[in-house]
Amino acid sequence: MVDAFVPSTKRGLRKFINDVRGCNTLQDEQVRVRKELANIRQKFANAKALKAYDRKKYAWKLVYIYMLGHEVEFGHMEVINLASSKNNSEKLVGYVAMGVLMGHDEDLARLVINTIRSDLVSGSAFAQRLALTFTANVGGHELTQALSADVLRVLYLPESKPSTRRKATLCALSLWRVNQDLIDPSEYLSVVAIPALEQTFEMGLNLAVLGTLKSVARADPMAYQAVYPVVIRLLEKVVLGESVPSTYSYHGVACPLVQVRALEVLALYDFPTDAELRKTLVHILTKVLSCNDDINPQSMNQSNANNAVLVEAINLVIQYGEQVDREMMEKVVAILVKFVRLSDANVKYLGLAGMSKLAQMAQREGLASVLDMIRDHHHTVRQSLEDQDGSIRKRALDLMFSMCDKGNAHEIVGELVEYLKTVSYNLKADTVRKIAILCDRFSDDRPWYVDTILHLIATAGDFVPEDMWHRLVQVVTNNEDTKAYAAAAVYKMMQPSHVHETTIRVGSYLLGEFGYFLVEGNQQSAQDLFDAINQHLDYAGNKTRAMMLHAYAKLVLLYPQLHEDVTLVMDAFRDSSDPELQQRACEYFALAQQDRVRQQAVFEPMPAFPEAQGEEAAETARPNPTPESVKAVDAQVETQVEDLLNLADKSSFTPAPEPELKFGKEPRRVWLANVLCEPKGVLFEDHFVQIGVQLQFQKAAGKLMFFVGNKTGWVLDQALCTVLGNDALEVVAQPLEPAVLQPRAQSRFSVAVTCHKPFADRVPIKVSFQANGQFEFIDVDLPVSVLSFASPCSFPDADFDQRWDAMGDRVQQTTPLDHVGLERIDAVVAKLTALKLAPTLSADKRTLRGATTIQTATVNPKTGKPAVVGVLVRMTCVAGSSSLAVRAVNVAAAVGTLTTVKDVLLVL
Amino acid sequence: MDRQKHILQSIYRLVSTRADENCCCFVEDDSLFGPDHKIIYRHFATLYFIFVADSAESELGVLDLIQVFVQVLDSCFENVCELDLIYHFDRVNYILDEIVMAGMVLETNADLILEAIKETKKLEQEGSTFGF
Repeated sequence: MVDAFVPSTKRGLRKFINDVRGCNTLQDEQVRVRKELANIRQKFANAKALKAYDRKKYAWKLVYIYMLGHEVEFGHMEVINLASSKNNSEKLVGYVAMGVLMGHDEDLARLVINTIRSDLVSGSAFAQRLALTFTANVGGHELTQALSADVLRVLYLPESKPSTRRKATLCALSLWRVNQDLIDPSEYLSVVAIPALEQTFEMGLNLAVLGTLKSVARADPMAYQAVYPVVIRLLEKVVLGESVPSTYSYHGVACPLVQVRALEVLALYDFPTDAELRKTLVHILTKVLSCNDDINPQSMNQSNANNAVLVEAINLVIQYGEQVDREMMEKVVAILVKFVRLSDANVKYLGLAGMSKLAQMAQREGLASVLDMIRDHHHTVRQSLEDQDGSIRKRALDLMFSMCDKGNAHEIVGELVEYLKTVSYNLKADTVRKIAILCDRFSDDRPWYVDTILHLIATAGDFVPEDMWHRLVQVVTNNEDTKAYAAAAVYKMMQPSHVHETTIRVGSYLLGEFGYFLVEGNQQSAQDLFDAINQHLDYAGNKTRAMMLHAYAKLVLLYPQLHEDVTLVMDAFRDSSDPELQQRACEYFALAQQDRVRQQAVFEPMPAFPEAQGEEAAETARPNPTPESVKAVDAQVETQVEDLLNLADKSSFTPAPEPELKFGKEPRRVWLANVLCEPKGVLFEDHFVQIGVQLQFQKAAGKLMFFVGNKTGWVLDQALCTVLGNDALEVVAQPLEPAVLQPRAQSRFSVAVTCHKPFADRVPIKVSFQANGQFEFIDVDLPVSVLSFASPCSFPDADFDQRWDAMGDRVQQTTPLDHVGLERIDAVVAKLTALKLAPTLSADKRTLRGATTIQTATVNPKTGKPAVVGVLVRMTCVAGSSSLAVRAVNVAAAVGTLTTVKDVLLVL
Repeated sequence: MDRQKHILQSIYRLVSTRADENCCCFVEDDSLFGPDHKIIYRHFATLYFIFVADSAESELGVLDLIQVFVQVLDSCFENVCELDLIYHFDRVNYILDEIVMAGMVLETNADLILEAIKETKKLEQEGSTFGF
């Protein structure tokens, strides 16, 4: 037993924890916590009088409160003071508490930079390590900018102990994630990586170095190529030799995680061309792959350690594919099969995942023999679909999908369709999607394709995304021989008195377009077609009804005998409360009064759709078969706006520019900076949604159209946007429509803004929606700055200087810009022009002058015209840096301009 | 803070509903962290140890790491239980800092981790003399 720490701060803390544990309800807990916070706040108010003991105690209490999930809004300064203390114990508490309480708050991080820097150079290994741990865990832009040099110094210092260096390398990695120029490959390799990896006895350091390499070398494999033979030699020693310290043997396996990491680094490169290296590597892999044979795992831990390495070796062999010999590939298949059949759930999961990778590789490289070997175990995989564990079911489903090819497509799709009856709720959408993709991929047999998709719609309609039936329509429309079949099939599906909403949609569409095949073939009468659709009118949703009306309009043109029925329906909807329905009904009604030539022109059969490229067309094709064609005649302008994000014809969203490279966790700043000086762009993107915006400003008013696109394959509902203005910036927002985001579709909302007086703060927009039952919240800034309402003015430099001096005694704001220097002056000019600051460059190119006026909607009582606020900007540049000064008669105008320019230039 | 609570609750819901006997120690939930992440956990009596890793991380490697973490906790607390973790959350923080850093594994050798913690303790007790 190691009594690790002195429980000196324990008594008060223990009592508090006891109290909290004793609370029966959340409310009780909140009351207790609030009381404690009030107490601590009071004590901290007179922090100088506190003893070190108490300061530590209160710091721990704050940490505890924070960990319980309560906001802690004060005390950061006291914690920082603890960290700055020269007393080891206080420093320790301070750093750990900072690490927990500060999260990624950059403003707070700025306050501790000096403390960290002095600890990094202090020469005390203890303080150095604490500082490194904190910097690594918090990371972020501020710390990276301020501390990179110090961290690298510790990393490269020859005297640094391995235990310090190992923290330094991971710390450097953490900062590297923010700024990828930070680590110089050749220096890192020669000073840190290669010496460490060649000296096997420092396994902890090796682990950290390999972990770092895994990330940095992935970004630029060529630059780190020199480490490849070193890693192979390390593995050779660990796997084949016996030269590993016994303390690192973990349940009989030598440093499993080091082996895993080393194999991961090797996976960044191709199979070596050098014969010697290749021989060694094959030797290592063979040894690892055969380890499994003779070990009869007694404990779960031993087999874990063993299998961890094994799985990584298998991944590597799969990656090499055809390049390794057949024997090794067979060995891999054999191990995976063994895994899949084992009762150990973890191993089974990994076996299925590995086999999925193998199948994908075999499909890609056309290794029929490997695919055959996998297919021999089709039955086992099929059984795993019914496993008790959802994670395993998911892997099995993936594998079923990956092992499907032309030969077994019918069989696998049939099984998956059967599986759909029993599948658990959370896998259902995925199963439907996979069936649809497979159907589409192997859709040569069109009746089979049509039947399967229609069956999916009928049995799992709620899980069928719009684009799936759009794709069906596309395939049918483009293949003459399928039309009659599809019409008959869908007619049959429409027969029950109650069918799924999507069935009605696809039925209305197909019968409207191709129903005439049935009438011409004397299978059904025109009246039958109409009735088949119309019997569902009562319970259909409005969007569906709109499609039904369109189908009627098409049918009645071909079969005048339906005129009476159709007119009746149209007439009934002419006063519908739904504007879309009403408009359609009125338009169709009016069209019916026009001459036939005109009607025929409008209701031309849909032309063939351009074929979507690529395999996954089922997911991507968006033929838009809704009867928009009628509306499109007079709505072309609108569609242009709608396609801002190119959702309509692209498989995935246009990715936002890659700001991650430079700013790590702060891509929003980059997006915002771009949108602040462009008329449109992406404001936000995560794995759920992409938010784009289009902006228009005129004088003191502006209109913003936001587009919220759903990037996922499922429905996001209850979407809501709120944005509240203030007395300076009036905001009128329209609600987000539609509030249900269909997969790969977009909703939009518009915001009108009016500037009443200059402002410096940004207005936040809150976007929320529900994904799989969970609420997601997104906070972004409204991309409107005081400069959005600017109108540029220019005058000669001398004139400018005169005005500048005249304004001198009013308000001036200045800021240094460390990263923008003389070298990039042209880019700066472009940005300032975009910001409507009308920059002019002095002859020596060292001074930029810009002037603009902020238009407001407030009427100046003296002139009777809207008030205008003048702003002057002067930037002086030297090599490597520059400084920005803003003068204006109004503080908010000056601050607002300064921050906007700063934010925009930040992404240069 | 809201996101933190949301993540804790969702993961708890995900993990606690899974039976130990037939289920593997891996869960995926795309809605929580996106498709590139997975949750890797182990369940010991009243304690769940849960790690969230990117999808390229070695699952079994993380399970081993959890094992190491528990071993270290066990030596510090003698058969660790949840009360130890609640009342000594400070020590748990120190220990974790010696095992994982910036989301990367720092050390997997239980003996060395214990040694590092002992050393920290010693330095802590030495008080204010360091560095100057």
